[in-house]
Amino acid sequence: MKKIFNINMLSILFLAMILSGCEINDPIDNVVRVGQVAPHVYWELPTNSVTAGSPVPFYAQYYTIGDAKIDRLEVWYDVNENIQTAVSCPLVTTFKYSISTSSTTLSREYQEVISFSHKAENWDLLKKAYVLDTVFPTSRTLRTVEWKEVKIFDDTKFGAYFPSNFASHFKDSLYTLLKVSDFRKIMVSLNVISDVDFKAYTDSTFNLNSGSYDYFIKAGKKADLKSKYDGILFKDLIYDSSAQIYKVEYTRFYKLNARFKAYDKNNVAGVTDKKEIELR
Amino acid sequence: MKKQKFLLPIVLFLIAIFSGCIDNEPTIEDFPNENISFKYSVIKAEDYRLDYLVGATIQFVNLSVAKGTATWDFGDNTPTVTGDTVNHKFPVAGTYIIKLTIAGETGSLKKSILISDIATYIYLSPFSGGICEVRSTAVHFTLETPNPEKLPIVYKWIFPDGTIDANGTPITGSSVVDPGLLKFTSVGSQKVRLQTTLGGRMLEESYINVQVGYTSAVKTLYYAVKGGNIMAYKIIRDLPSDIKNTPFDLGVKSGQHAFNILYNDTSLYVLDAGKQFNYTNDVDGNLGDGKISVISKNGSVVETMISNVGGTAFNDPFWGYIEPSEKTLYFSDRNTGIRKITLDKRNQSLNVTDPYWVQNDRVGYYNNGWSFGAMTSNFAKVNGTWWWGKTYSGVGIFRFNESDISSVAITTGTRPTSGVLFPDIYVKSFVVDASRGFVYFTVRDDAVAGFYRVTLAEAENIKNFDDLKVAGRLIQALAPDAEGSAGEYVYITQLALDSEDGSVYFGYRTGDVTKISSGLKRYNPTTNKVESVIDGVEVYGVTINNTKSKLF
Repeated sequence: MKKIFNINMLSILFLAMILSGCEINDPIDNVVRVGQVAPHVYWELPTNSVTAGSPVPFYAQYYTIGDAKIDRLEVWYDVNENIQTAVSCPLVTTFKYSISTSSTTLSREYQEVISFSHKAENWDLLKKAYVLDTVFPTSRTLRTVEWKEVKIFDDTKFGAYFPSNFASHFKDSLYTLLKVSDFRKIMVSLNVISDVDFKAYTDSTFNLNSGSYDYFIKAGKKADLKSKYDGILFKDLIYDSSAQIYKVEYTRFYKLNARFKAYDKNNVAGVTDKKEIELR
Repeated sequence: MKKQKFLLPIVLFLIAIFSGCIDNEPTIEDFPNENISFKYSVIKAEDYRLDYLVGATIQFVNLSVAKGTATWDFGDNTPTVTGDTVNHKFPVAGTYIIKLTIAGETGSLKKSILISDIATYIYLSPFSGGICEVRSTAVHFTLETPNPEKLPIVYKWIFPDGTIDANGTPITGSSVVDPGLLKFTSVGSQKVRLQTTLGGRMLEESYINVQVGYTSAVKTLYYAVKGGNIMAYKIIRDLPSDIKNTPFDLGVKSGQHAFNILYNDTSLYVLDAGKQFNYTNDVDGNLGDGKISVISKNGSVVETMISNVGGTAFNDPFWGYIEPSEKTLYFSDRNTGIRKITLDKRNQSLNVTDPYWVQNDRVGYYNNGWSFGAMTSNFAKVNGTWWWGKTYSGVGIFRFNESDISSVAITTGTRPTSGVLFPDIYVKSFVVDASRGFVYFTVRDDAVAGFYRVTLAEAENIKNFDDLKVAGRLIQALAPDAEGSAGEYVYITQLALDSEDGSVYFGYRTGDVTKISSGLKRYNPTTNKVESVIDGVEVYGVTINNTKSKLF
């Protein structure tokens, strides 16, 4: 009897040791996932770029190993707006002057877009899974919007697509970078100052290192030149006379981040990986 | 009793095994609700449920765990409202921030909602033959403008240059709903624009690209515009004076850096090297965003062949070559090696544990011509021998046969007998006209930058810049732009040969606007000069569909 007591005491001690053991060693958690079992889901998209308004085809497989049967299937996505702009001045020759932007904004939250009812006949004997081969919709309103190769400058459109201070920022930043030859090109091309008159704005010094003359704007003429520069319209600075277009570009397009979900009768969902779809 | 004495320890042991020692932390599978949570949706189907149009009734539902009065701020300067389920309409398009606050709960939840403006949709009516031919096919448009409030609508059409009406009279615009049958005198995408005024408010302009084909079957050139779309251009010789040839916009983005594009059968393969293409310390190995896309020849279908999104940036696909007989695409990464994939593969993820077909240290040039990390540029198979361009840690075009590839890593190799072309010359791109015996190539070295042509025999003897300066070899000096960095400047990324007449096409992004402007260029074998095909466009990859067609 004494011997039995000893074994029991040792066993209780052993159990106490196990139950108060370290968090890392959890034999149950090592073997199974505690909690409700979500349906297994997998999906493929044959294409990740469609025209806005066109359905997106997809192929999904799903099944459950839990007690709860499959209830319904859903596609969820969010909408991300991408805006790209580029404006350049084709009149400068000593360097390239361009201001480009690119931004992405989450514009519509991740939400259910379409629901499918689960059907027993979706079972595929070979795949040993339910199969759904169908499409989910997209909105026509999310079409790509472009303003490029602008032949007639539309102030309203420019105001709608660019920040209100963009034009002044563009001009001011450009001014600080212009060399004498750029000033000449701009002033003469835009008929602000004639080529002959522009000579009165410049002076030069001989550069012994290069063996040529370095030109600069006379100090007394800088204010006048700045005043004339300020009088130039923004749209004239970005006009490419050879191509006969304004060098301004605006593109807005949308991308979707989509997932497929299979819910069981307990409302537990299995969720696929994220697929990015570009709308055109 | 003797048996029973072991019963208790066994039972206790089993209990210990089948019970955990801690409570599990909630896992992602549990999907706990936020303390504050809500959802929104358009509630009436006739309000275009997916469209979220201005004026649509949108329902907001409080899903918060927190109890208390729900207060909604719709971000449009309208007064806040309370309630667990509320409806709201936005009269102006834009992205609004919705804020939900629960009384007694700290903080709030903000979500964005995009309200789209009403727009007019232009549809092209079907026409006989399925191809709109230049000057001959008349097209007709229909319109749809969602107008739930039955507001008055005014339309203004703007037609591209070269549009003619049914009588052949040029027409630039129209203010009637149906402008009637129209024809186009230009090949290419003809952008028909429409300005709609709804209830006195001008909507965002709508447009449709009408793809206008030529009157006879010709080849099609494709090119990838930097920061733009994949474009197509019909290669038309002896273009009639009353027809203009303009590019087609396939409406598919080129991606970040589509240095190489390849055409095979009916599809275009676009290799996008991703945003980060030159050196960076991708310490986490997750800056990769390149992929190979497969685009149908008319741009209607876009599929992903293989993706490196989320992988290491340097594993993005940079350069490629299709071997039609093997139905295989060979593609390189930045500076390690070349992999291959069969043309029918789709939706693959780049697995870096998959072996390369060839990599730097498996060819005899390793530490004997090139070294670790030798930078790859264009590569191709020429008369059964591979030509592998390198621009850093070994510079030139290194040739080898498949039998030269070692199955094990090499420490210091023995050079393959096929040898190196253009040693120490920064050849960025090349193409070989085997039937005429010419090698065309571009050199990025500042002192000798340009487009060159030499015979295959001459190529064997070009060892330095002086050899490039021999009369007749430089066809056109082309000042390089600054994109890229030492050893991996972008410059001219691909040359495309029209084997029929020996023309070579390429995209040039200028480094000196006073000399030659950016654009799509053509080497004209008749004049032996480089001429402009399309000015003012910045182009990376170019390729040709040699199957002739009126459209695509």
